[in-house]
Amino acid sequence: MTGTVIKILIVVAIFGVVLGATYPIQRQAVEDGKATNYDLLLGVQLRSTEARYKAAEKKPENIDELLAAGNAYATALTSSQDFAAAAKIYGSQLPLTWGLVTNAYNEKWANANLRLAGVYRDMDSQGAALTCYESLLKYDKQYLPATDSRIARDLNNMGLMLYMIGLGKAEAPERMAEFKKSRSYLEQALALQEKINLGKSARAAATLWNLFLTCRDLGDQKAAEQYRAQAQAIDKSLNRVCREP
Amino acid sequence: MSETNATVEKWNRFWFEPTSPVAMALFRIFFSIILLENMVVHLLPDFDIYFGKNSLVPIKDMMSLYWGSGSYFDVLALLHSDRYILAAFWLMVVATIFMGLGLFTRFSSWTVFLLLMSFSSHFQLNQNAGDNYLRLATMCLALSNAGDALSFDNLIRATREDWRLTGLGPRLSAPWAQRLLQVQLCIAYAHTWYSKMEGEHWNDGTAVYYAVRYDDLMRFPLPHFFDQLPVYMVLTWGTLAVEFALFTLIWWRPARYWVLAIGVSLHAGIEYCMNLPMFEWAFLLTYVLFIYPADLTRCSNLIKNKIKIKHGEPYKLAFDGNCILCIRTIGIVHRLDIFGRIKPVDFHHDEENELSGLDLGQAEKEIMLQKRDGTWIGGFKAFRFMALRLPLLWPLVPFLYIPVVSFVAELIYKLVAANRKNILGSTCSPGAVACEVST
Amino acid sequence: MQSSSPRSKYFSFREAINYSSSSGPFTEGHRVLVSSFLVVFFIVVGAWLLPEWTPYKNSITTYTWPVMLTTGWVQYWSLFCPDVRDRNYHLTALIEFADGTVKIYEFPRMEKMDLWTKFQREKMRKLFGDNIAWPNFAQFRPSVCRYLARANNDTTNPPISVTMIRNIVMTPPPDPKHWVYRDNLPQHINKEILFSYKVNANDLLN
Repeated sequence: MTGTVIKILIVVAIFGVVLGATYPIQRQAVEDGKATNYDLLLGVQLRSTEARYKAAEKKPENIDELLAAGNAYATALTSSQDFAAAAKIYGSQLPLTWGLVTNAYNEKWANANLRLAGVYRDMDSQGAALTCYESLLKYDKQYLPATDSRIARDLNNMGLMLYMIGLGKAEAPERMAEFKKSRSYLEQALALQEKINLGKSARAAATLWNLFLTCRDLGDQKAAEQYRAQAQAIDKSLNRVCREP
Repeated sequence: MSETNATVEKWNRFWFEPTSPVAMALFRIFFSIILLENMVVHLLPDFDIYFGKNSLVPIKDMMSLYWGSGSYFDVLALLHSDRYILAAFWLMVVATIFMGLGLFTRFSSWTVFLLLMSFSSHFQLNQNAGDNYLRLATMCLALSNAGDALSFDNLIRATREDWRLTGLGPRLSAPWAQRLLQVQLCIAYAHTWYSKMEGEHWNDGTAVYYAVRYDDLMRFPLPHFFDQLPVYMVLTWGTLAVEFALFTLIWWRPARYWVLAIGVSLHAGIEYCMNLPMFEWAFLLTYVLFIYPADLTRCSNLIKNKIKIKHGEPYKLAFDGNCILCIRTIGIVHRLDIFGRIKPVDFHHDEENELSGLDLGQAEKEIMLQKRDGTWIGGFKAFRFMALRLPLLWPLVPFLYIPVVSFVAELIYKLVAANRKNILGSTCSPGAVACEVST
Repeated sequence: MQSSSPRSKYFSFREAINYSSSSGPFTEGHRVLVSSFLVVFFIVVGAWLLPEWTPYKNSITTYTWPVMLTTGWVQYWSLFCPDVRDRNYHLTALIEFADGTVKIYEFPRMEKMDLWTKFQREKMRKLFGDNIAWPNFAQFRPSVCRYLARANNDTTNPPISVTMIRNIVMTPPPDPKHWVYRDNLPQHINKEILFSYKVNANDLLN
């Protein structure tokens, strides 16, 4: 009986020591968690960016501040999943920035267009996002050198949107048609990245991963595996602190 | 008052009446394999994603977002380096192997239990019902006498035991931990049955239709003639009936094996259709605990007889029944001989016709084993011959046939034989006459 | 097997095979100790598994829950119940980089894996399929997005946002009009935006 009691006491002691030693760490983590609570911080961010944007709206002559404040507010809105409000802000930036530069590359308009595309993409309006990306591609091709990495970006994004549109189609022929178009854009993006020595970059890895999924869903397993292997090799070479699950 | 006494009596009989630990030992061995599978196949490849500084949900986030003020047991939270966490993982693997082998069984199973708890607390998000069950079953193992049979612990005990007094059967003990695990299994079935009874699809007979259409769990295909609504309706209501039986009729002796057989079919069906590693196996393995000890012995004898029919009579091993050292050696051999391939014969007390051709003088110096052709071999050669026929010694066999090793082993054998009193103990039993004489 | 051995004589080998010694009956103290443990176990586990509508369940589990957590007795046996799932889904994430490039990441997707990989990565299904995809575990989504951002970090072009999407489809009901065989299930054509995360510079620090 004494032996049993001693054994029980040992087990109880182990539990006591571990729980006792963990408690301060746990309490600190909970306190830190409260201080950095995501929803709480987002609420604060939302309120402050809204105030800034409203103030900037009253001074429309300061376009840079209006754009910056709009971007900050729209980002907070996106994080709160209020995509429609964010899209409205980015949409309002298009006419605002359009006339800023003539006969040259208008960076501000391009960025506004890109952000608007992003919101449409995130709110599951791939058709609208595709239109934005398409107009941006056309614009970039018009004003940028043919070897500019931004054109590769646009091609990649076009390809991705087409892939996502394809994912939403129930019938196989319709899916495949979108995937084929997607593959074409993505391969163009990859070819351009290789041409401008970005073939081993993280940007190329992003395109390769997109291509992997597109080819896999097209049923071209061989190409899919090749793209995956290339993407993995690039990811590995970047020695990141963690890897995708 | 007498009713109270009868209840207490029943309670005591159910939980504490000494019984054989063999079922629990078998459970221990195969359960360790499932645990190892869980660790090495499911956890290890994604270890960095689950645990450590750069994991998907670092421990501080886990504490603030999941633990809250809950008192979770987690040794890993006290380790400040990923290397230590990995070391703890390998410690758990080693402890599981030890538990399976039955080496320091109680200590190793407690180690496994505490580390399993720690790893599940550390990263809660990948834990499924199978993990819950593994943890609970490991606790029951840690509380049980699962190391009293089919274990290294039992072999070690044999080096100190005189089976002429204790018998060679595994030591009987209170089976309360085994019973707890049996009841735990029934709790699981009862709860799942009850919860299902509240479900609309379980009542309208379409639940299995939907369940086998979870595309993330799908394993093997079903032929279209089977993939029909009437089949699913039978299976849905059948599942409810089987699960009900698995916590009720299972306790009624005449129905037990039938219920277990249907339970096996249920789990085999799920296993075929769905990818749910560990869960099905762990549940099925627990069925072993419901086999009555006498039936386990019967099964063991049946296997031994089958082997005897296929491979012939067991080999005779002559030993000195007056010598405690020989007695202990035979105790060890018997525990290693799970398929009954060796038949120890006491050359002092057993019938002489069992020992035709045995050189008694030599038998007093070393173990002697009779081959099929009637010749007797002794010492290291006998051991090697025996090792080849005892599956538990097979890992040693390749080494025993390497010329240099066999030469060295022969020397070691002689050395061990000369010093066996120190190794196996030298206490002679009353009446023994030949303690000094070698086996 | 018998549990007692006649001490008056020694067993022969043949006799010994059929005898087992016993560790002896439990003392009264042992019995009380173990019985108390068992009673506590059944109260704690029983309270937890009581149906939700049970009166006073919450007031009981307030006391039993801490014991359950500490001892590792936590248990859930509600696989496929109270009702089965009538939908299939998988998670994806859109990772946008500073230059505007977007990558789609597909969380481990079991139905696209071979048998062995599916077997090996079952915990990933539990993690992302059963847990992260659903509101009960929504609090972990920022951590998951941060992790994905770190896993895609590029110092020259860091990720700036991660959006998690649940791609979902209802399982057709089992009536003749909608019947589909198990090997011909519909694609996950509908998208639900789960979470959109703006990546901070601090998220990318080691």
